[in-house]
Amino acid sequence: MSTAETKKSKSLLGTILEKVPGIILLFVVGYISKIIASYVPHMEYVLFAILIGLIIGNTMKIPELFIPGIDTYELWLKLGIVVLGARLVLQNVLKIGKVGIILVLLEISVSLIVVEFLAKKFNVSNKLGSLLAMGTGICGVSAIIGATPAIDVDEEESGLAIATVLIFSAVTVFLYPIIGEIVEMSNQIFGFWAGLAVDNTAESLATGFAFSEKAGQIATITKLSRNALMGVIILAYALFYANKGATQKVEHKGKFVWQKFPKFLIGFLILSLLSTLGFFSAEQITDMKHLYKWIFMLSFAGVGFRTDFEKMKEIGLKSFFVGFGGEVVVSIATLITLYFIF
Amino acid sequence: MKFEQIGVSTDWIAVILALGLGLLVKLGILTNIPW
Repeated sequence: MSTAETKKSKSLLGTILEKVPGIILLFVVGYISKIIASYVPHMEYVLFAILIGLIIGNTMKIPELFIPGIDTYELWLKLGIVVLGARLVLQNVLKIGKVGIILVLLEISVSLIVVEFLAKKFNVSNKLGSLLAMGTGICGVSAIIGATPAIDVDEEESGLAIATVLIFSAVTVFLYPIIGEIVEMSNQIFGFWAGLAVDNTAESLATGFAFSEKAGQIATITKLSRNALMGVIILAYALFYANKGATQKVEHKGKFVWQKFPKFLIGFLILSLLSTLGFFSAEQITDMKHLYKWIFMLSFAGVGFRTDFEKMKEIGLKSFFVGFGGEVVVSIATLITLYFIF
Repeated sequence: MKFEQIGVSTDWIAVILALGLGLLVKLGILTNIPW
């Protein structure tokens, strides 16, 4: 093995090992929340997992040792989504996805129009307004991170948009299940609502699974439909700003969309297809279900740790009101549409 | 996340890990997983 190869394999092993303490912490928090939930009727462990992480992360300084492992929550989220594919027959995915994609197109249109309008009203810069619109309309933090270089926004505005999206995702993850319980929503309506109106992917799924298993599955498919459109929407914005001379031209549009496409969606569809073709027995599908529950547990515990109220204080009133207005309109509009359809 | 910094996408890691787990379940190596 050459020196360069040795160095690379060492850095890969080092990268994996440094994540172990944080992953153990995620497991412990998730497992404790699972135990607590078993004593509370009608409550899923999800909200306890987020709450414990949120309290620890915002009341004490987490030792550096745990940070790399806590940051793996996004990997667990993606892995959980792919494994969940085995639990869902492709016909059902397509059936939910078909309704979902129409609702998603409607939700994205409402979000973009409302948030861009509010951004102008509150004198928020054009690019920050666009980031907030994409964060609300498509997939929260991922859309903002993907769009930041594409429309050439500075780091400060990007950070503001991320903090704004995260604060409302943190609120909705607790608020929506309560509303759902009070008005006795069906799993179908709640699942679509969580998938459509909660900005960030992790919180969207957590909201769905906090209500019920079925609602969580519908929320996942709906949210994936939103995420799949990320590349196209960011491309449209990049072309818009390039035409105005505010950013560089996009050379390869196909490559651009592919780069922003969430590839784990392909894995989700592969496992769903394998399951549909009878690759797994009924017992094995139950095993896959339990597997994704353990994996999601790690992710949801990480969501709480990642919610930093100190950073959210920095967002300022303008961004807050734009985000708040967008969130309220999108939540109400999607809910009315869902009650109209189902 | 740091994996991206060394050129590995978490999207593909998730897909590979999931296919690996699926195979372990299929082969009966991972079985009777409790929840």
